[in-house]
Amino acid sequence: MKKKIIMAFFLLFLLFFAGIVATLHIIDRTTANLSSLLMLHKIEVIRQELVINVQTVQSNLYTIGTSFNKDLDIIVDNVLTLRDRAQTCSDCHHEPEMANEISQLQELTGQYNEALSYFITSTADAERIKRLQTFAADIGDKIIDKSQWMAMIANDSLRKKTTAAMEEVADSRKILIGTLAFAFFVGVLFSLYFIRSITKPVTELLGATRKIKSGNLQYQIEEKLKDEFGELAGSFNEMAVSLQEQYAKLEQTEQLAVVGELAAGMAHEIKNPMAGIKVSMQVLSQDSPLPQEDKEILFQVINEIDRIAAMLKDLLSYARPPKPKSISLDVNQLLEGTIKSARYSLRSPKYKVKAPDIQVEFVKDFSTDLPRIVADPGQLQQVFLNLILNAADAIYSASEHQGVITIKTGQSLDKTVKISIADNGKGIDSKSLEYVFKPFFTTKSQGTGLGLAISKRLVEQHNGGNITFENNPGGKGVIFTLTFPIDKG
Amino acid sequence: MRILLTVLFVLAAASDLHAEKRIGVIMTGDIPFYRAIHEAFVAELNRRSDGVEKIEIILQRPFPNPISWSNSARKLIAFDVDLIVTYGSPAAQAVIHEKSSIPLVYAGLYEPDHAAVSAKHVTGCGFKVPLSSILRYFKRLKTVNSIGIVFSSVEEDSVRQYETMQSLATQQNIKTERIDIRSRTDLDKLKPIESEIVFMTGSSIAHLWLDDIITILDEKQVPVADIFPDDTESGVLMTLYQPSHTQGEMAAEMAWQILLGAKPADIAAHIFRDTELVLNLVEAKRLGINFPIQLLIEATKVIE
Amino acid sequence: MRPVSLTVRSFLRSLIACLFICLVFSAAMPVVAFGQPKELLFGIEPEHNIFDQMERYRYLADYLSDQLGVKVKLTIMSRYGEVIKRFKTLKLDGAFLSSYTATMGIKKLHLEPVANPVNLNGEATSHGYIFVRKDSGISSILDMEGSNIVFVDPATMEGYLFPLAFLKQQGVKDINKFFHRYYFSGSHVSAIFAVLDGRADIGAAKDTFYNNLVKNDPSIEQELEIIARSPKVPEVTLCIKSEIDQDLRERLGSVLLHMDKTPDGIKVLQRFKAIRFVESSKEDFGIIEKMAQIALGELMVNGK
Repeated sequence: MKKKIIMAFFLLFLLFFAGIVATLHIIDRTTANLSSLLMLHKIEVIRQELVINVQTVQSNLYTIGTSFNKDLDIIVDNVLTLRDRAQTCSDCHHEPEMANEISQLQELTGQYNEALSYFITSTADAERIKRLQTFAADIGDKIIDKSQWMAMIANDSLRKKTTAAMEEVADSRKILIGTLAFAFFVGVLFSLYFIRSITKPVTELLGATRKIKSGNLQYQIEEKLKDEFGELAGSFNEMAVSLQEQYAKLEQTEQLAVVGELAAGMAHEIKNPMAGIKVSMQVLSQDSPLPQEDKEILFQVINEIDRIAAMLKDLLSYARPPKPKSISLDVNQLLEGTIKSARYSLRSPKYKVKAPDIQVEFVKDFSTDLPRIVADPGQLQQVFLNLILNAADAIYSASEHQGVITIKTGQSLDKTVKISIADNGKGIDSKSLEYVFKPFFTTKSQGTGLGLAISKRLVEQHNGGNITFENNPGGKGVIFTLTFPIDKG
Repeated sequence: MRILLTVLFVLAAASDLHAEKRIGVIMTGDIPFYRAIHEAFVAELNRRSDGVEKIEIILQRPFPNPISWSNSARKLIAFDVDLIVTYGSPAAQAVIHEKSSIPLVYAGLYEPDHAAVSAKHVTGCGFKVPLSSILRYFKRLKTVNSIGIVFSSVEEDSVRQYETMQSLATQQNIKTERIDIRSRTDLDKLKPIESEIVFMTGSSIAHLWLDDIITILDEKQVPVADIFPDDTESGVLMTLYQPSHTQGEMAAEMAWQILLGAKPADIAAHIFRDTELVLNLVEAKRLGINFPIQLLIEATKVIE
Repeated sequence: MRPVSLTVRSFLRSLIACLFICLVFSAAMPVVAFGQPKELLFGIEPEHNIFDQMERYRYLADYLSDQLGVKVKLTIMSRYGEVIKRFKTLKLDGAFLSSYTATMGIKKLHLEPVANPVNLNGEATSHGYIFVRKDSGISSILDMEGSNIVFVDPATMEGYLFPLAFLKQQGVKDINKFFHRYYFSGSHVSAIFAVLDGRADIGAAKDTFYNNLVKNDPSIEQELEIIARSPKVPEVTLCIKSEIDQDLRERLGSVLLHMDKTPDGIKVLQRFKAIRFVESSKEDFGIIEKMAQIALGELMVNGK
């Protein structure tokens, strides 16, 4: 559209420019025509002056020596004026034919001057003086004839030029009006086109906006819009999707906040009576003379109370995770510690009972020159440990005799540190894929369904931190991948 | 041989005079220049005799060639005239060649001091026209690089004029073209002429066909100057000539003296040097030539 | 009665005051008018092209007007010799005069010579020639008798006064009897051409014209022979009335004499076709006066 508008404006500019050029040219030509006409009129005046001068000199010539004799000074003045007049002609004429005529006229004027001079100054030989007079008079007549002939040509030329000039002026007006009308017409066409091509998509976009406004976040602009409007529609559609996602997130956040509040309240309310119940049960189990069978029941009750307390604790940390206390740390080192803790946990009776025959092996593939990251070491260790124990659980539930947990660190091209924890357990079935990070989703009989949800929250609490997973493309098991930005400090 | 015309002039007879006198006249050619001399001669002789003496004039107008001039001279000698008068150099020389003792008065002879006409029984008058002036005037009319000279190799005075003009032209680095006219067919020599201007010497034979010569040269836009007057207005642009009637008058005076008994040797020969310059504006217009005013005012006569 | 007498008295008082003022002004005015005239009118003698001449002199007049603070006007005279008459009728204040008219002006009108221009050939003076054709055979006064002579104009030194004085000194008493014919050509150039063509046997003209013709056509020198030369005299001289205020006269002389020393003056001189002006004195014209006494004192000049 931008291109089209630029093109249209350029075209209009060209048209107007052409109009201006044409106008200037026309003005120029008209002026030239007018000055040429003026010049011709001026020439006519000069010629008339020339003829008058010659006639004056001729009359002087015939009266010399008579009682009508003029003062010689006046005659000399007249002749000098005549010479000037004849000279003026060649100042403006340039056509070779006319220039030739004028040079002939000047030559004649020169001869005339010479003959007059000889005539005026001759003192001897009456016959010769008479001859000079006749000769000068003849030249004078020739000058008059010639200048009159030239006047005829000039008049003819004047008439033709006037007609031509008027025609040209008329033509010029037509051209000018034509150019302006055409430019106006083109301008109107462009305007209509642009109004059409702007209003339609704007209406469409406006409608879409109203749909979104009314809560229909699923609405997509289906119609194919052109140019920037097409791009705008695409962006709009993306915006709608993004808005939908954000809305979902917001909903989740709100849900979490509510759950958090609820959980915190409930935990607080439940924790105290539970503690009371637990203490009472322990007293009963130890002190009362209850048969062992009954005492077993009491122990079971105590176990269940512990489970409830742990679950409450998880719920609390999911709903209101503690703020990370970030420091610069070495991920490899942190992982070493975490693996150690994990080994210890796996040797505890809780896991031994699950699968006494299964061995879990840890494979460490650490990058040696791994850059440091900024993170809360406690939270990070909690996440790693959770992932490693989940992996072990997955291995156990797959009943493999030999479980391998591969922990790999490295640096990505996008200046992040990447940590992956892979197992060769049973993997995640396709139905569960989208619920993995949802709270209260678990595949384990004893799980709270909050481990991975808490992990995701903790990771995402870190600026730029991210956690993803995928089923191992090479075979069994799952790979969890975490990324954190490199410490730039 | 052409039949010669004879004109007889019978003047008023004088009662108290003894015998009638006879004068034989030979024109080198029947051209206006010599005819004008002859008219002045007759008029002056008539005035002198004043009706007292009867004088018979036998006029010979031979076709201009050596045999004709010679025949005319012989004829007059045979007539035993009292005096022979010639116009032009070839006629005078033809008479002298016959070695007769009849007195001879010549007229119309160009630069007689350079012609072989001095003898005991011979006197007369001639003329001189400065040929340099002709060349000078031509040069004031236009740039002159070449000049054609029309002459006749059988006419002694014409040859001298040719030589003078040729020498003048050579001095001024002007090329010359020699056009020798001896018969009518020689006029064809003018057709391929390359000269810018043409000078006509005082040749009788050439002047017989002056009109034809001018017609040919006009076609080529070549202006002509002449030392004989263009009385017939054939179209000579410029003529510088001696007004020949004075020669006729002087010849008449000399003849009269001789008839009265004077000896030719006692009568001094005379050269007329006065000239008239005639410019033909009609011809100039035809040739597209403008005479400068300075030249025009030098002219004694202008044909318009 | 009282009011009337009062009016009369006041009227008389005003009248006396007016008369007094008029007296003072009238006493002062003649001094101003005499000391610095409003304009100066100078005459010019015509040369061969009076229009070109007028243009040349106008540059000079404009320059003089600027330098003197007095308008200098020019008037041209159609005939040589008319200047003396013009001085009286037109009330000229001065004139650029040729040597002969200047001499007459100095003698008859008591004009004062101021300065004369040096022409482009470096000459402020000119002289007259008497010449003949080389082939004319004229070498002494004896050969001249009965021939034709051409003068230029009775008012020229070179073209009339000098040849006349020369003839007189050679013992010619009456030119009417001595010559066959004499006439005036009206111009120096025409006199030279008249001799060249043979229209006159003897001619007289100014050297500048003669030399100029020879320069353009060297063949002329080969044809003519100068048989006498006049003494050198100023060619053109500005002469002014002696009544002109001494101071203005001196300033005029000073401006002309110093023209070649100022850039503006040099420009005007170039247009005037002169190198500079040189001082002129009455003594320069003594020779012409003497010539005139010889020529006109005894010689009879009949008509023109």
